[in-house]
Amino acid sequence: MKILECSGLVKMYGKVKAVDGLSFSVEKGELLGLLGPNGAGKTTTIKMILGLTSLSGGKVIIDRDIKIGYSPETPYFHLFLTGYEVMRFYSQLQKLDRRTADRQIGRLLELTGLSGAAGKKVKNYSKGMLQRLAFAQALLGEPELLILDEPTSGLDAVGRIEMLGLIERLKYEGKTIIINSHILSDIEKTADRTIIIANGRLAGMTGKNDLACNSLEELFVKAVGGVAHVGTDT
Amino acid sequence: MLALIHNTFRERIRGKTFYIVGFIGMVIMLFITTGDSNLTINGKKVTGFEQMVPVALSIAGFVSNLLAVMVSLRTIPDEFERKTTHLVLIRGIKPWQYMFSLTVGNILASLFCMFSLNASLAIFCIAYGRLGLIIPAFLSVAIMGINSMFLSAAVSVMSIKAPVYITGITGIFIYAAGILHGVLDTLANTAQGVGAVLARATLFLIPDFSAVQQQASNVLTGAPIDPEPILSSLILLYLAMSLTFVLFRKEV
Ligand SMILES: Nc1ncnc2c1ncn2[C@@H]1O[C@H](COP(=O)(O)OP(=O)(O)OP(=O)(O)O)[C@@H](O)[C@H]1O
Ligand SMILES: [Mg+2]
Repeated sequence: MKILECSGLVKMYGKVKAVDGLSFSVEKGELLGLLGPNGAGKTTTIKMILGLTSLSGGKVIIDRDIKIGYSPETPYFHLFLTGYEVMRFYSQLQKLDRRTADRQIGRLLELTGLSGAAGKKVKNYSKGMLQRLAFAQALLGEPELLILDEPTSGLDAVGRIEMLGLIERLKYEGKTIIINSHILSDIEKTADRTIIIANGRLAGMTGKNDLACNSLEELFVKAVGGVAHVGTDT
Repeated sequence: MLALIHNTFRERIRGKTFYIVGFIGMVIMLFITTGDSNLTINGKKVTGFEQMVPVALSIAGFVSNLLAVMVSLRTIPDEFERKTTHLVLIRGIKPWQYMFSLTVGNILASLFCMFSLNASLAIFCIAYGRLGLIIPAFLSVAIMGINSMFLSAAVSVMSIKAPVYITGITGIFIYAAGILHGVLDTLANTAQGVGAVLARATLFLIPDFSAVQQQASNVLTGAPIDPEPILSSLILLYLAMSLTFVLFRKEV
């Protein structure tokens, strides 16, 4: 069952074509990786899906009732709040009742290793802690679809492994997940299927168990290299 | 929406703002309680309580209205710039709910500044031995608050679309025009041409701050109160607030 379908997405920033006719769909329960170099248009694509930026073309088909959790690329919070207060604030916006909220907040802070820092102002959080908090708030209200933009950025080696482990666990719990990354290994390990984006276009696609396919790395380098080559020619 | 309003209010009145308000409040207090020996209005020395009231209210009004502009100026642009908008909007908050809540938060923060500043007026009443005036003093401050509320709402609404410096300058301009409303009315009504028509239209949209302030002062001195400027200010406040339902940014 398709949970999300994007067809012919186009995004223009003035004259810059950030996304250029991108089409793909996401199946329920699937972990889809969006892989691409910096500036490929991954974040822009996600913003279009979330309705955070207007479409210059194409359409996004998604069930409006579906609950979506979003962890942004650069986590931005109200810095005067503590980690707990940030979670509380978002739980209120989602209209979670107090009991459910408190239970979930406690569990999510624990899960992301932030329990000890819950009372600390977000202003004093490290980059990795902000990333964890971004992840924790995305899980509030038990969303069916999780959209994670660079979920491992800012994390140290151990944090990275922990984060990927968490994501894997969520997948086994049946959540549909989209992960954005420019880091091949992050996606290679976790994704069921990977879409490679370069210059706003679909440059390749692969399934994890797709034996006929080249290794993801080969495909990635080929796809990106190929497109980059075209880019330098023009 | 309550969570958004509360959050905005908290962010506005935290730390720095609080100290600024406290400091200015003290300065006003000092001025009011010691200044009566050398202050003159129209060549007459101001000494009695009745004369001091409007003066004190004007000063408190001036400061708190500037604070209303300052406090409200950056809330909405900041929200867009640091992208805190994203994690709010994906939670199904509608643009109008968002802008309305931020504006209400700004208004509450402005009122808070106003009330804290005017606590000095209450002390002033006590200093003059007019304990019976404490309650009218509150009423008077509440009337003054209408000006702050309008300024805060107008500045908030402008800041949805306009750059901060333009909003700030326009906010100050609105305040000045509101205070000098009477004089400007006379000027605009005697002048002719397109400019005069424009001026009259602009003035129509700006409340008469000094008339409202006058009513606030009348409450304290026991003079009769004219509800007209108060009501028309409230209508303009309503109009300004209603713009939060239609204005939003294209890029969030
Ligand atoms: N708000 C904006 N205004 C103008 N151009 C933008 C804006 N946001 C993105 N772009 C441009 O759109 C293109 C795609 O950007 P996007 O952020 O989607 O890339 P990305 O794949 O997420 O990259 P990264 O891996 O660095 O996060 C880039 O060329 C970028 O400069
Ligand atoms: Mg990105």
